[in-house]
Amino acid sequence: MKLEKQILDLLKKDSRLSHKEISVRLGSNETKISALIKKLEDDGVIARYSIIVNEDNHEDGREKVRALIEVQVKPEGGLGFENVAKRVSQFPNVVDHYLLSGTYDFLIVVEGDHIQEVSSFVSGKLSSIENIKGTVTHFILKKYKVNGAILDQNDSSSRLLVSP
Amino acid sequence: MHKRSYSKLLDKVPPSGIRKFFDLVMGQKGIISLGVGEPDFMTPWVIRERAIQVLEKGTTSYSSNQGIPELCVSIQKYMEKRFNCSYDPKTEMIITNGVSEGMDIVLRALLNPGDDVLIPEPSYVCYSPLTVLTGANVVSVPTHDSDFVLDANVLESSITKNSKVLILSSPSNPTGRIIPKEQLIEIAKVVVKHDLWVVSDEIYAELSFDDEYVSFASLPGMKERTLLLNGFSKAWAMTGWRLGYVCGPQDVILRALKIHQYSALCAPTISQFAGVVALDETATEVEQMVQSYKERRNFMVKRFSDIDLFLPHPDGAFYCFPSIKSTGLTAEDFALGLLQEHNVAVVPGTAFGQGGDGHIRCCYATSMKQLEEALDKISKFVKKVRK
Ligand SMILES: Cc1ncc(COP(=O)(O)O)c(C=O)c1O
Repeated sequence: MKLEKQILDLLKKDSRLSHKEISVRLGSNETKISALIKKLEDDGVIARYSIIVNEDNHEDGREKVRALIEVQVKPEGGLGFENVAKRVSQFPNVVDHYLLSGTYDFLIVVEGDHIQEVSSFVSGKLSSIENIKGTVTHFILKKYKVNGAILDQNDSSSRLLVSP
Repeated sequence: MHKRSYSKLLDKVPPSGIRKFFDLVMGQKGIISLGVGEPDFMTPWVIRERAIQVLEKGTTSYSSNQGIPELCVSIQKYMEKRFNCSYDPKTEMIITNGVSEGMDIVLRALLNPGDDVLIPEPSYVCYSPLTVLTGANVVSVPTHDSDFVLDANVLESSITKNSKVLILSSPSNPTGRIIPKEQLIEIAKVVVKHDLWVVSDEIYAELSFDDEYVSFASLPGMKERTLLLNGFSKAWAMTGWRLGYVCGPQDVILRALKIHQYSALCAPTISQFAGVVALDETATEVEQMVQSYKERRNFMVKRFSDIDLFLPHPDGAFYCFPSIKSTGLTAEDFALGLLQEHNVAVVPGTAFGQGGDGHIRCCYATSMKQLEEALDKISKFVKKVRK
């Protein structure tokens, strides 16, 4: 495995690891690791450092609502979806935004403080954008796994403390 | 002589050194344990999923003694691709209840009372007792003067006129050492010269961090003399599934099968089906686990060097075997002190036979957080006793 990939794998699991710690675990030196990480940042491979929040376990977060919204778009001649995509991505409520193959075009993840905020975003803002032909909103009821992390894991180990 | 007396051979097997320590540790709370001998991963999900399907379908009867044909074929392909060893799935392998059973039936198939078995020590705990139970004698081959890598010259000088079997174990539990190819070739010469059988425990073969692993059976002329033992416990994190296999020359396999069919009948059928998925479909998961052990290995090497305890380079498996001689304590006193003062459990090297004194076995198959805490405590303890 390439060193860059090994660094990314470690940071994806724990973005707080220091360059020194990374260099120890990968058996490399700190200067080299720092240079590689800087390059990954400069090249935009590492877009940013973030955390995964399990809102279910967090009092303030508990009320936040998220919805996945399927969006049908009429492509514009020459521009395709790009113009509409730019406008949609700008909204702060939009957390993720993808162009998909299949029966609809965009999948966006929208977050709001309550259901009304998300619904009014959809009816007021999203639907009124020219060339958006229709939307289907799915509210997220429960998260089981986010970015590869299984939430709420009960991993009480049953290993013996000493074994051969 | 009482009619209701017990096996005399069994009396020759000393009580387990690990067991002794286990009892001590179990009496204490809040332990950070570097004393385990198994992975800290769960079995990869696709393997567990397959077992669930098998249970749902109700395929829960005995398999043939040898094992299910699908798994034998998967093993054949795996051994060929991964280690360049080719075995006939019909006649040259047996699926066993882990390497543990494989070791037992192979030794029983080969040995007579009075034969000598060469065991490089320190070694994994089952080799010597299983040898003794056949009525054969253990000849311990020291490895501590060559940083726990078996040296062909030392082997040669340990040969007796009754020497019949050499047990190889690489990567080694407890030392994490791997015998490099050049040394294996020298060992092979001694094996030929003295016409020995080799029982090669390669259960940690996948966990080789620095170099491509070389199976002893893949060396020229060695396949005919080698009983190769491998299994799923370590690289696939399947210790509780009890699944392993023996590969070797047909004449030995036939004999070992005779024992297996009466004493085990077959390996767990559910595990066997799951084992097919393990070999065929989980290369990525295994690679990720190996990478994670390697990162922790690197961490251990760095920390023991910072503490200034000599550590024979841990090439593989998930153990390291630092020397604690510079502290002036025996392995047992060190382990006991560390447990009582800092709640950190390691296993004294003496539990693994001759040459283990002055060393402790630390298993790093545990979370980085625990390792960091454990190493901080070991560091503190070492500083204190050195003063
Ligand atoms: C070197 C070695 N051989 C064999 C075994 C036993 O393996 P199995 O679970 O396949 O019986 C172990 C387990 O700790 C081991 O370390």
